[in-house]
Parts: sequence; structure tokens; C-alpha cells
Amino acid sequence: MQEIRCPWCGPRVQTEFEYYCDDSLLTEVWGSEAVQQNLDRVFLRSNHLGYHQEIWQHTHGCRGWLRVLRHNLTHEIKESQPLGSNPVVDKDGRMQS
Amino acid sequence: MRMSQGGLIDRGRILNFSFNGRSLQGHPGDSLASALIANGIRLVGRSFKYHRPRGIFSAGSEEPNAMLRIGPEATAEPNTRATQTPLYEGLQARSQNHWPSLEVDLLSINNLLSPVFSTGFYNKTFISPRKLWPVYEKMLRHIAGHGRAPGQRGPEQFEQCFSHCDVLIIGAGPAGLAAARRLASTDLRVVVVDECERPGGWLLKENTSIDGSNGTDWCDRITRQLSAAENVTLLYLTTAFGFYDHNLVALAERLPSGAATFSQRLHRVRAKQVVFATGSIERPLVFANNDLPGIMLAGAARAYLNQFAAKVGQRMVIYTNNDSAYRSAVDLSDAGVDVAAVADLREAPHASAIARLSERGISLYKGARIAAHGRRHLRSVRLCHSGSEQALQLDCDTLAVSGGWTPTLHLHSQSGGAVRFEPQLDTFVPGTPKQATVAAGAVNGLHGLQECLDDGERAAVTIAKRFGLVTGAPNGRSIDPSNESVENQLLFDTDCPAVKVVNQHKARRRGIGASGKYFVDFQNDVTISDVRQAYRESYVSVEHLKRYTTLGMGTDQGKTSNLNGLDLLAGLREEPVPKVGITTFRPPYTPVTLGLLAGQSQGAHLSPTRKTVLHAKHEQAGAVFDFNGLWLRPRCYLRHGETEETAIGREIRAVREGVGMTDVSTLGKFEIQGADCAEFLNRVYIGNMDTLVSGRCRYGLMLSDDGMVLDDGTVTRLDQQHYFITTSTGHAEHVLQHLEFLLDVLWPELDVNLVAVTEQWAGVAVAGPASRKLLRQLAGSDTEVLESVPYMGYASIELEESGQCIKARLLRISYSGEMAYEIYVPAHSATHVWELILNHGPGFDLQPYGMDAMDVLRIEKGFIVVGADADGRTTPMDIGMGAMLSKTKHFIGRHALTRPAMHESGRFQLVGLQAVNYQDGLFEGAQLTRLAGDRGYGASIGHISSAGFSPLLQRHVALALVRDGRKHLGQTIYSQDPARACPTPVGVTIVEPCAYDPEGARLRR
Ligand SMILES: [Zn+2]
Repeated sequence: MQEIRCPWCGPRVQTEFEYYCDDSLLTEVWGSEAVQQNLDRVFLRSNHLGYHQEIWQHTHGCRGWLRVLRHNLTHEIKESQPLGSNPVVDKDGRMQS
Repeated sequence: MRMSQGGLIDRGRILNFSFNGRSLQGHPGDSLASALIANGIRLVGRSFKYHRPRGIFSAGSEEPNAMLRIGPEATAEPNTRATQTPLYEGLQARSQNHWPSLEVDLLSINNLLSPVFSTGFYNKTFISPRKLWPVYEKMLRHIAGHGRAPGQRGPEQFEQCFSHCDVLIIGAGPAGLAAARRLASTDLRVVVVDECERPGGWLLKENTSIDGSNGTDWCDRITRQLSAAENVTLLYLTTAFGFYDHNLVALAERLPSGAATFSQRLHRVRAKQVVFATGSIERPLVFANNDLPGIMLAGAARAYLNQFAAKVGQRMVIYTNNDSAYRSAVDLSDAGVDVAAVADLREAPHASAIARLSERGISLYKGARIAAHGRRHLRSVRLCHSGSEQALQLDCDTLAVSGGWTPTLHLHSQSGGAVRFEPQLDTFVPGTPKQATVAAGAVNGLHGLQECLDDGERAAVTIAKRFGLVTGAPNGRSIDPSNESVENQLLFDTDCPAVKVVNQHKARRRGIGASGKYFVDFQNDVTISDVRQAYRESYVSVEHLKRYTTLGMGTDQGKTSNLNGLDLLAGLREEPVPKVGITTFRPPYTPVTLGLLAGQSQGAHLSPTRKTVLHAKHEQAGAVFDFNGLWLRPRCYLRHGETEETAIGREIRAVREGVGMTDVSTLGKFEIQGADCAEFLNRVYIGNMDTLVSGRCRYGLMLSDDGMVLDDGTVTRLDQQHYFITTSTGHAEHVLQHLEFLLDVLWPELDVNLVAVTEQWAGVAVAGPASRKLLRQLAGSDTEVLESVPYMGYASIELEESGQCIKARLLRISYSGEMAYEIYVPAHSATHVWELILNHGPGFDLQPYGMDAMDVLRIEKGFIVVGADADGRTTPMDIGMGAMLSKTKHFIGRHALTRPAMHESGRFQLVGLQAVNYQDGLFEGAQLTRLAGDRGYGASIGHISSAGFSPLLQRHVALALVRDGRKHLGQTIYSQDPARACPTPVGVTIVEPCAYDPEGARLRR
């Protein structure tokens, strides 16, 4: 069981949270008729090894939404922030200037 | 035999226990194993495959042989290691895996047949004919195996807890205690766990001295200090069995409870830092008949002497490849045991070690190779050595062996830490950690007492630095170096050459009688020949070797066998050990009983039970309950003398012919308010929701991003900017999360507020041709409002009785195909409303109906349940709702539906089914085939998704998802349901989903 830091509640056990999606789902422009682009967003997501931007919900807590940068092999969590704030590190775990 | 003095046992008290029915006595402080040894019991079990006699082999958690059934017969816990069981009054122990008895085990015929039972024998022999496997399996399970599971639930209690600490120290031997003592002086929260009954580890088992006092006294002193420290928690009889993500460590704590059992507590400890002071485990040597009772690890022999004052035998030989076993020779000889000889595999043992033997007149044979002899017990060893061409025989009842020490890497490895091969020790030691951990003491391959204490201190300083504490800093957050003087006593010598496996052929030539079995893994009966055979058959990878021979796959996970097996394989491959690699360590470190993992989550406590606010009313009405997800809902209401079938039939008739009422409180319910509600609902549902006017309801379908049906439900516009929506019972949670994500994350700009009110609003559906007439009785002054509500209309009305008014939301929607109303009221008024309706019922023959009647009613109408009749592969077109798709707006899932595959033939479409022969039953889950004979893989063209018996139509009605089903309306296919009541295929005709009142005239009256 992993430990995830909820930006509002503090560190909590993974079972309080639910994984929702990766952050590519956030890129949709509503109503855009770029059909292929929208379909790619749903069906052709990258499945890379390494740090992964993930959206989690603190379901059994404050129900807030988190952006979690997590390594999908080691399960190391680099950061977890309120969704909507800008990520501090990029997809490879490097600090953004 | 018990010594008259010494040891850490309380001779003042006697504990009575039994072994195979024989009454025996021991003392507090004994383990079951030490008590058996003190009583002179040597044979404790039969081996896994060959049923060879086995004795106690070790003094710790590595024990491969002494696995007993503990407790009263009916609830006895199998495979319990005697070495890890503290003795208690009334303990009942039994040996396992023999028939008819331990002494006379007829199944030991397997031993004589062993050339037949070689590795892979079972797999190769019993693989065909395939049909007979169940017969073979039953037989083999009787012949080979360990203990049997208890027949009844035991009296032990299990509980679970979460805890948190700054530092978790695993192992309270010298290194663990040294680290704990240093950290106790800080304000860090420290937890120290040890799997034994008292802390000390090897200090309790060795004859040592620290700072002038003996090791045991030192342990007691440190333990008192730690117990007094507020920031330190000590847990005994507690095994850290698993290391998981983010420094989560699982502990199994055994709590003595009452006379005859242990209760257990599972701790999930989230530790900021973990110290692995897990020690090391002695390795056996591999030689002919090395499994005879009377042969044990050299360290165990002196542990039984020093800790338990129990002599393991009268006359012993020691066989070793390192200096540590010389301590056994010294300790046991000094205690009066006749140590006949030390046989050392090495040509040149250390001079100091040799001197200690000659002081005591113990013979030493260098370059020695031995073979053990005896039938049920060790009688003698034959020995050859470099000093003579002649083999000699030594009579003895005990042989203590040592093949060096293997660091207990398990938890370090589970935590993802790297391991490194240490050639001098011929073993692996912890490498770079992956998580926040430090290894200290013998686990690092250190075997001197001073080295272990120092390493514990070093680990404490490392940890303190990680917390930002500075050595020597004031205010109690400092770490001071200890300045204890330790007589430089080696616990174990570190010079341990890689000679562990006696060369079979060479030994035979030297005339020591080397025929017999050379065991590598005692618990799973794996011998050198098995490893060689596996190698010959090309199982040369260490992982393949493990699985093919089952080496290291017993409940002891090969704690004593893995490294010897690895050495052997490396030798066969002519490669160094690190090249061969090691198998993965996996939790649990020692077996964990399933009850502990379940904890209190048993029976009704497995998951929460949700009851509607009307539950008591249903009970009063004779409801038979069943689960719908977590909800407990009435299936039907039994009247006196009724069967469930007749009750369901009666309830269905009531709805079709008169009036029925049912509890719909479990539906997911949401209030939605705000200026952008219409826009929001338009995006979420496939239909046009912005055209819905106040006072009207609409059926809606939601899709996922991939265009598949997510949920269905109703949308009611209460007011201009106020909506009330319902979802299906099973999807309420999912829909809530879906809508929250949309509003919180994707479209925060929309002015929409969403609240889940499933628990706050109760719902009662009143359905049937007489429903309006019945409600008229309660509508009071709102009768006209009631009369004017059209089909799919909504009104707020007040239900009246004896002056009391209850404000209710009245929705004229129907899930049964009859004229029907759903009445929603605040939860606290629900029982009153239920009674109110019921009280007016007699005149209309009103009857409450349950889930089963509701199900048949909706199947007759072809109404779907999302999750059954539409699964994650179903589009709106597949269930005949393509016409609902809006062409004038965008909605979630729309683009996905434009994909060509969504419109091609071959899709599973919703249809109705009707049995060709009216008496035939149709059942949910049955597979559908084109031809009656189409059995087997690949022949299915769909399945029955919902089914039930319709008393009005006098036949089963069913909905099904059938490949291109709409194209084949009128055709006959076959329902195959061999696992249930229908052994023969049933012919069914594909029909329209709606079997009852297809025009919907009854809805709109
Ligand atoms: Zn939270």
C-alpha cells in the first residue's frame, strides 16, 4: 500500500484514494470537432516507463482531486499537488524552471 | 536432557503439555522445541515426499522439519514451527504427514521407491490420461504433503491496526538493541520488534560477555532502559513478515490468550526509516543421510544448551567448514556432553580454534568428509580425513553441522534493495537500499559481537542524520557514541570457504559408506540428485530449478537450503554464484495464517451493509432480503404458507392488475443547481436536455469517453435552475465520481453545483392501473395537481393525513410498464409515507413488491439494467436507443461512436428471447449458439443477460445480447446452460425485447 500526500488532508494510505486517469484526459477542448485528435486522446495514450502524471481522487476523504507524479515501476511519488496547479516537475521528474 | 542449572527458564514453575498424546513437562521460557529436546524426544515428523523420519534441526524461524499441529484436534493449526512456539500450559502438539503413526509410517515405502519418485515424476507420470488427474490428485495429496487445514474455526481472535513511527527496528539482537538504545535518547518514535519471546537474538544463545556482565544481563539492562523510554515501543513474538511500498511493514504479533491458543494482531506500520537487524541463518552441510534425526545445526545445539539448558544428546560429533561450530564443541563439552570429534572440511582451521579443542581433549580431523548412518535415528558417522587413508567410524547420537552463515536478506530484498555477493562469506549481503532503510549487524555479514554492536550504533547515527539530528547536539536530540568494552569474542568466524557439499563420488571411493540421500532442501525433500537431474534436463536457470525441483518452495521458503542449492547449480554450470543469481524473496517471511489477514472482516463484517430507511417496514411486511451491491433489499414479501415463487407471482399480478408499491430509495440521487445546469446535462447525456421544461422528466443515457453506455436514469427539471437526477443503484458511486471530475476538473467554468442526496431522499414507487386512484386518497387538496401530472411529468405535492402534511416530489415515471408514480420524500418522513400509502391500500388490494417482481416486470417491458443488459462493450445503438442520440449538440462519447467499428455488423445487440417450447426455462448467463450441437469454445453468439418467469405470459421472458441479433429476429437459436438446470440445449426464438404492451398504452392512461 502506497502513501499519498493529499494537499488538503496530509499523508494518507492509498486505500483512501482512487486512481482516476492519466493527465492526457485533461487536454480535451470541449466541442472541438477535431474528431481524430479526441479519439487519440481516449484510445492512444502513451504507456511509458517512468514518471507518470496521474489524477487521483481522495475518495474516502475530502474528495479533492490530485495530480500525482509517480514512477510506475518503483512507485516513488515525486510530488502530489492540487489538480489545477502547475506541475513543478516535468514528466521525466526534472524540475521545471 | 535438561541440565540441572543454567539457561533462561523458570525451573520454579512447571508447564504441562502433550506431544502425540503423551504428557510431558517443561518450564516457562521453553520453546516447544526445547521442551521436546529436554524430554529426550528426537523424532518429530515425517518428510514431505519420502516420509523419512525427521528431528528438530534448528532453533529459529528457519526450521524445516519440526512442523507440528498445535491446539485441540478440531481446530489445530497445521505446519507450526516448534522452534517458534513458546511453551504454554495445556499445549497440545501432534506430528503430521504420516500414516498410521509417526513411529510406523507405512507411507515411507516412498523412500524405497525414491528412484521412481525423482524430480518431475508426478508431472511426467500422471499427466495422462487427463481425465484421471482428479483421481491421481486425491491420492497424491494423501501421500505427499504437510499438515491438514483445521476442520473448525479456532478460538483465536484476530485484529488489525495501523501504526506510524519514525524508526522501525526489525530484530532485537545485539545490532538491533544497540541501535535502539542510541535512538531512545532522541525524541524519535521508535518501534522495536522481535519474533522471539524475549529480546536478545543470538546473545541469549551464546556464551558471551559485554562490559563485564554476560550477554543476557546486558540484554535485560538495555530492555529495561528501552521499556522506560516513552518514545520506544517493544513488540515481542512479532514477526515483520512483509515489506511493501513506501516503507509499509506488516507485522504479525502473537498475543498469548488464555490457556490453549494465541490471538494475533496484524500491524501495518508506516515507518519513516527502517533498520534491518535481521541477523543471519546457519547453513547446513550436504552429505549422505544428512537428514537423520539427531543431526542439527551447530548453532542450534548450543542455543538449546545456553538458552534452554537442554542437552541435544549424549555423544556428539561436529562437522563444519568454519570456526563458529568450534564454539558448540567448547560449550557442549564444558556442559558435560561427550564431544567425540570435530570434523572440519578445511585443511587448516585457525590455530586458536585448534587450541581450544586440545585444551578439552577433543579430536580434530582436518580435510574431513563424513556420511551419517542410522535408521530412525543417527547411530554413527563414518569419516575420512586427510591424515589417514583409513576411514573410521564414530558412534554418536548427535551430529552438529555448520556450513557458514547466510544473512537474513528477505525484508531488505522485499523492499527492493539490491544484493551483493560477498565471496569471502560465500553469500549475498544487502547492497544499495531502495527505500528508507539501513541494514545493521549480522545481516551485513558481520559476525563479531563488537562488530555487530558497532554496526548497530552506526545505523542509529545514519538514521539520526537522516532526521537532521546532529551527533552531540544538546536538548535530548543527540546521539552519543557508546564506550562499552566488549571482550573481543567472535560470535562467528568470518573466514568460511565455499566447501559445503560433500563430493559424492570422492566420498564413496574413500569408503565412508556414502550411499544414501544427500538433502539440499529438507522440507521439500530435494536432494543433490534432483538438482543434477534438473540441470541435465536443461533447467539451468535458478528460477526454473526452483520450480522444477521445488527447492526452496516449502513453508520455510528454503531459509536453510537456497544457498546450498545455488552453490550446487553454480558448480554444475561452472559459473560463479553471482552469475547464477538468486530467486526473488517474497512475503511472507514466515507463514501467516489467513485469519490474520482477514482480521475482523469476516462474515457480515466483510463489507458494510447498507439498509434503506424503510428496512424495518420491509421486515414487518415479511420481506426476504438479498444484496444489491452493498444494499440489502427485499427480494419478495412472503405471506403465510407461500413459497417465494408464488409470492413473486402475486406481486407481479398486483402491479399489472391492481397496484403495488416498492422501495426505490437505493437509486442514486443528485440535486443539481446553477445557471449552467442545462448545458452541463446536455454534455453529460446523449439526449437533448436543454429542451426539458420545468415540471417534466426525461429518461437519459450517459456514455463513457469511449462511447459505451455508462449509466441510465431520469432527469427531472424541478425549477428553472434546479434539477433532480437519478442513477441506477449499482452505479451511483461511479456516476458521482464521473460528474465530480467533469465539474471540478474539466469544466470548472460551468456554474453548476452538484450534491449527492441518495441517503437524504427516500423513494417509493406506486405502480399499477389503480395507482392514481390510490394516491388520490392521500393527495388531499393537491388532488387536482395529481390528476394533471402527465406521463413523464413532475409535481411537488403535499401528502395529507390527519392534519399532517408531508411535502413530496411526485414523478410520473414507470419502470414496470404500468401507470406509475415515484414519490420522493426526505428520509425522515419515509416510514410515515410508507405507512400512509399502506393504510390506504386495502381498498385497492395494494401489495408491496420486491426486486424479483420488479425484475420480471421490466424484462417483460424490455427495459434494461446497465451492467447486465448493457456491459462495458455496449453502445446506445446496440440496445436500440440510437434514436436518442442528439444530432444538434456535442456530448461525452459522441466522437467515439463515429468510429466505423461501432456501425459494422457483428455487434452484440439487445433482443428478447422466447423459448420454442413454453415450458423451457431461460436463465441469466446462459450462452447462445446457432446450432443445438454447438458446444465448446468459439461457438457462442451471445448470452442471456436477464431472465425471469412471467406469470402473465406463463413462460420465461429473457433479454439477451446476440451478435447481429436485430438482423435475426424470428430465428431460432439455442440456449446452452450445462452448469445449471438445463443439461440439454433449449431452442429459443429471437424476438423484440418488449414482450408486454409494446405500444405503451398502459403507461399513458
Ligand atoms: Zn484530502
